[in-house]
Amino acid sequence: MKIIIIDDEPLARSMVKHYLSTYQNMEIVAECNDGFEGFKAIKEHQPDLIFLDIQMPKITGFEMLELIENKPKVIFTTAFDEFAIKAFDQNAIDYLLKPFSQERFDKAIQKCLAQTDLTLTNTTYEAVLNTNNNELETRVVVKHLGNIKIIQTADILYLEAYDDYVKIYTQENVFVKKKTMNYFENAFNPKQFVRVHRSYIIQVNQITKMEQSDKETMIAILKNGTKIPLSKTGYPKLKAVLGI
Amino acid sequence: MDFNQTPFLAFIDSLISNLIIVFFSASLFFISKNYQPNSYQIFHPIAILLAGVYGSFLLQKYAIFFVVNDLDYHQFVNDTSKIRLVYNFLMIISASMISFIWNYKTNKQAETQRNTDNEQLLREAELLDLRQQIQPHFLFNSLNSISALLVTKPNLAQKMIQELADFLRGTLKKENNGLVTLSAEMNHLQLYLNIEMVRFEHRLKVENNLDSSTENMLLPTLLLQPIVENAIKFGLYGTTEQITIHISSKIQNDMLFIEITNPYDTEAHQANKGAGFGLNSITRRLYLLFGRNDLLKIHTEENIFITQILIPQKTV
Repeated sequence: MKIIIIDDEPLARSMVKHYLSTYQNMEIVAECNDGFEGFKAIKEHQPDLIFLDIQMPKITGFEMLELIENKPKVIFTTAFDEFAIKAFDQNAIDYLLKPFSQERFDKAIQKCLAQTDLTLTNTTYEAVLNTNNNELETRVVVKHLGNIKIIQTADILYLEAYDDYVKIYTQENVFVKKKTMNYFENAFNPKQFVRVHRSYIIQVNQITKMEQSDKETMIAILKNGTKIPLSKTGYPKLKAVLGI
Repeated sequence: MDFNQTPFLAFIDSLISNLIIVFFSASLFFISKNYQPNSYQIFHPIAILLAGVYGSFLLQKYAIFFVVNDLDYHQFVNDTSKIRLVYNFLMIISASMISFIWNYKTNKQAETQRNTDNEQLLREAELLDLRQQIQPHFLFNSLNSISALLVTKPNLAQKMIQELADFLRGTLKKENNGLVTLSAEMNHLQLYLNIEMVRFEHRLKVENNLDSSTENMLLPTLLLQPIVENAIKFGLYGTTEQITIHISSKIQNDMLFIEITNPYDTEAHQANKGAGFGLNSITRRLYLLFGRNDLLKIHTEENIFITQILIPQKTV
């Protein structure tokens, strides 16, 4: 079984390594300091199981996991994360709270081995990742030309639905992310981002004006000149947020 | 009617009348002391007043009838009913005005006193609250590191337990709202830093550059640790490379000036957002202690995040 340990504290990694040393057939193929390294290592080694910390440099464990298409089995190892405990109760293979004992660790491994169904679907994680902890996101992590790119929500002009993906427009570029419009509608600050149309979410302070484009439809014009249609339900929502 | 008797009767009359008015005014005073009518109950105090005026009038009349056994004088009392009513009315109105104002003033004073007491209590509670509590993250991660060290380096584990214990002791001290010398605060901070340096090994470096003249200057206890914690968090979580945190102090305008710098990554963080809570509570704490909002300043220079604090030194 191929294993990767991702944690920014060397001692925390050595703890996992130590507990793992009692097992045969468990090969640690990589140790990573952060989500960027983790992302690359997972792509390269295609591990069966990863041990993943949540609070790490640059991007969190959750954010890293979002970017990976063929997700390995995951055992989270973290010190303190109350909302995540809730979210993962049902869905992750296991969730180890630091510090943990060999017994507790063994139990997690047993669970992992028992789970023969290797097609642990992405949707399981999707459901978990989409629970979103009721916290509003202030950034989005995307893959771009093989690299990881962190976008601050303040830099987003608007979002557009794109089949199973959402296109994220910023001043410089367009990124895609495999998420639903509903996810973004809920994850972003509703005073800042408004779903003005089935296919569009715009950042309110990017709007310069709104006008009638024909008898039926209103459009919003953004600072960069982009025109976004406003739907019958979207327009009143936008007006409510703008206070007009 | 025997007119020789009249001055005496008039004296009796006025004595009875005025005593009764005093009695009624005093009653109204005590009523208004405990009873503050709402604005929509305006009818109640007026009814009480009018009842008082009329009641005192009746009481006066029958008291005089009872005491003075002179039918002519009784007639005289009946004839002067209107004047007596008006007199009672004026007397009782002015007495109740005075009671109202008096009671209002004492109530206000008591209220102001209560508010001051409340504010003082709140301020103390808030100060206690603003003092940085131990971050659970820090505590559990440290325990995890100790757990790992026990396998490979038990001696180091023991040292770390020691330092963690000393650090916790310092943080839990009761008299934590006082002022401490910079060198004492730095000792406490060093315990924290030693633990963090074990956790992050080579990735974390700290350089102190303290002016020796500032060693005995005073600052609120446990002020620096949350700032340094912030610096470490944003420094380390922003980059995967080694970071160095600089702590320096000097005297500026007779005040203690402390500067803490850490590298941070503009891409991963919005500077103002992440730095927010910890530093806000410090600004608030400094405000409660020194009444100034400008003692903590942050700014960024390229990829360096700079926190500057000024601590006024109270002259003894």
